[in-house]
Amino acid sequence: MGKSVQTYQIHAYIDGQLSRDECFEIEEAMQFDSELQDEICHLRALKSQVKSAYADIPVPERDRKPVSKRVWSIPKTAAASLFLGVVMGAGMLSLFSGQNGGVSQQPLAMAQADQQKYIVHLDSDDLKKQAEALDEIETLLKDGGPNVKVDFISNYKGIKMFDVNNPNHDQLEKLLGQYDNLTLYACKRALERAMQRGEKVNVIPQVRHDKPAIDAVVERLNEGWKYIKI
Amino acid sequence: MKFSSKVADLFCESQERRRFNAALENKYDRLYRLAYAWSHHPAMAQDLVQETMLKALEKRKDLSNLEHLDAWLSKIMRNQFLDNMRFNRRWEWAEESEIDQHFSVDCSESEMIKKQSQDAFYQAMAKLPFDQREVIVLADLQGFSYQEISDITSTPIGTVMSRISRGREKLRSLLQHSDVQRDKVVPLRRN
Repeated sequence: MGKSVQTYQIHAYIDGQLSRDECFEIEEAMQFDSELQDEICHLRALKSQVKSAYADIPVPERDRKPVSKRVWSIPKTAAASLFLGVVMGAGMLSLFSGQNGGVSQQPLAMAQADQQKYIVHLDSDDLKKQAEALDEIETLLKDGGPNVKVDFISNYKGIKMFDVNNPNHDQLEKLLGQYDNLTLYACKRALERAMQRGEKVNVIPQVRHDKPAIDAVVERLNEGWKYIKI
Repeated sequence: MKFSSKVADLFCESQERRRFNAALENKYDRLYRLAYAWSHHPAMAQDLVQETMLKALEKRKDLSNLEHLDAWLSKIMRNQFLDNMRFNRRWEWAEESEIDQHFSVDCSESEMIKKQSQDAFYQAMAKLPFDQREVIVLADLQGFSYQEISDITSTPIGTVMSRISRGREKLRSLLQHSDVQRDKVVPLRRN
């Protein structure tokens, strides 16, 4: 094989990373060098072997409908009308808001009142983080009143938060007793993995665990929920 | 800011979020295959995709342009993958070179590979050092440019080129000698 073409250049050539002039140089060298031709041929075959080996790996089914279908389920005209209505409503509210230049925080808070939905996401078994999550949830529920909804979603090591023997269990039980607008979710997959590893996670009965955390989070985000990562 | 502007901002924010979520949703299969090619373990690949997607949702605002989503997600996934390995109970604070040892411990995973020829290929890939395997997968399976791979792996472009070159040479040599045995392919394990 000709010494003028370096090995890294051959790889860059098959990866399409060379300029037109550089490609031309290699192609010119190939005309007089059968060894170089073979080398490029072999490497191209190897490259396509990598692709075909993994490109057809079956992707495990996910137990939910594609999000994209729900995202655009509202007709665009309806969305435009809604937007126009909101903007016009906002204008009217600002007109009625009196003397402070038409700019008031109150109408915005009122407009958002029915949209106070939060996902609090925890993926750690750190007790401090767990306590932080519970404090955050309590603040949201206390400040938001009856219009707020909070979904507490845990995955990975965070599922231990919902174990009956968790040191923060009492605080969680207290919140559940106090607020019926708090829902708990533990990642189905994380629970399965824990079982496979022989770890006992005895979750409290109020915890839902019928889907992977990512599915629950994405579903809510698409419905306009706010995301808080602890 | 006027109230109407605030509402308009909220609307745009909501639209942007929906576009991002829809784009992210569409990347699931691509991410799974990348995770699988790196880990050779279906369950770990699923976990890795979930962790990557959750991290992406958390850091959504760090991505300035949706056109760069693939490279951005790959970088997140790589960091998650290495973090998982480093914080693994048995391999706490392992260096990247040590992570490769996970691939050489005996364990049967018979359901993982069905075809004999693919079996040999996967085993050869599993025998590559992780720094070579990851760049080969990023280039050949994901189709990233050298510059993108350099950004994803935070590695100089010259190093990327050298790893691709050495990795392919080693892969070819492994396939030629094909001394790998079916029951020696091992997935990376978290614990």
